[in-house]
Amino acid sequence: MHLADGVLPIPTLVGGFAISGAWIAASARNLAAEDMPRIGVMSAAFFVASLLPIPLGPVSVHFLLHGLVGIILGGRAFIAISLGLALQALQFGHGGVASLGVNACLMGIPACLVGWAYQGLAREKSARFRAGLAALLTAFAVALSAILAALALLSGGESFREVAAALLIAHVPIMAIEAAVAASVVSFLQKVKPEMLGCPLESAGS
Amino acid sequence: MDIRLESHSTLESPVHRWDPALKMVGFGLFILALAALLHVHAILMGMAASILLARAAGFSLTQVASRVKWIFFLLLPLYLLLPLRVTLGGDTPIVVGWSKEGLVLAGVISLRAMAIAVAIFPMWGTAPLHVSLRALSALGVPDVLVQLVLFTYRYLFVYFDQFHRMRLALAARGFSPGVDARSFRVYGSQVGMLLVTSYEQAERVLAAMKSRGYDGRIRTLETPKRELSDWGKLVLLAALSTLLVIGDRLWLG
Repeated sequence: MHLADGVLPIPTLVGGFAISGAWIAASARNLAAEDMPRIGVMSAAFFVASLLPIPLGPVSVHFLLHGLVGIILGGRAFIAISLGLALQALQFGHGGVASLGVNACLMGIPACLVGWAYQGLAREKSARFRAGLAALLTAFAVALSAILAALALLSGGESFREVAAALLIAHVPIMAIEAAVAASVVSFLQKVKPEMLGCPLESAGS
Repeated sequence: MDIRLESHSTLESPVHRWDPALKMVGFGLFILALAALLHVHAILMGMAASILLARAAGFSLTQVASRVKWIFFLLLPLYLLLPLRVTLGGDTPIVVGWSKEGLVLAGVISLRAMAIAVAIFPMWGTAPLHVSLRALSALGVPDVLVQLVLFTYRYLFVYFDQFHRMRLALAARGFSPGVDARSFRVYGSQVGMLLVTSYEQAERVLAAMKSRGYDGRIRTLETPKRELSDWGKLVLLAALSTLLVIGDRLWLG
């Protein structure tokens, strides 16, 4: 989900750039040279996976997958998501450019929170518990993103109240869909590549 | 989806010849100015300026329109939701009202969004991605981010292809996507498999890069050369942006 250009007032746009800029600068400092191909290549995979169209009645919806990005990339999720959004907006013409900072915050912050929560709670637990946890946390990520988006809209004034409410309601089915797909991705990865979960990237390879 | 914005990067125009770093600054100011406009007349003038800039950069009106019309459709729900006034509580449980200001606001928002979308063409479509990104890094964006975007962009196309093959394979086995438990297991495996492939590929890419002496920096032989005309274009675009905002606040209300 992202907010389009032209909707938000300037202070919100600038605030979004300030927060996401600071967050990115802080996490870019912790990146080793080795991390770059890893995060870059996996962001590409997430980007493509989020385009999988799911038929839902007359329309088709896409996955957000930001909760899953958080679970697999942990604290690096913010950078991966911001870059994905920037590429999408500039290179492919989807989503806002002036609202990039705000969008990075409302997708990236829940992803990081969910990633940290997953790493704290999933340790030494059964596969079934982990899948359930992933579902729960992903639904939470969607809800939090929707709430942040609604707050950003409300910063534009009273007239956005109904839009914000509609946005919140629209995200209830999305929560269920994201939870279902996160659970099935996590149980797939448990069987096929368990090292991708739990202690992401750091202990693997090189 | 317009994947081929980059295919215009090799054309010739005053915008193409503009130093990429100053071009980013100029269009960054211009887009912020567009986002700050409040009144319909000012936004229409901003839109006209955007279209002129896109034309100067060699984009045709049809190209511009084909992208911009999607933005209009995406924002269509606003025309219903913004005028809607729902009041909860009081004597009657729900009161539904309708405001004309909301309709005007929806129009203002979609015009603003479209003007910004048009401005992206001359800003981002007039240089190859790696040149635009190097310009950003010259402006102080950390190198790390620039490299990450390049990685992501390069592997996007690899995974688009893989994804397409997976869909074909699934269709060949008679899978029809739906919203049920079985379909979601398939989606899960599909997304999971893509992630596993990328995870393993990332390790190989890293090993290959290290063996070629990668140390976290990418070196190039190009040095940017800024001339007076590059600065002149920046001054022009900055002046235009300032005029739009001042005009919006003072005269065009």
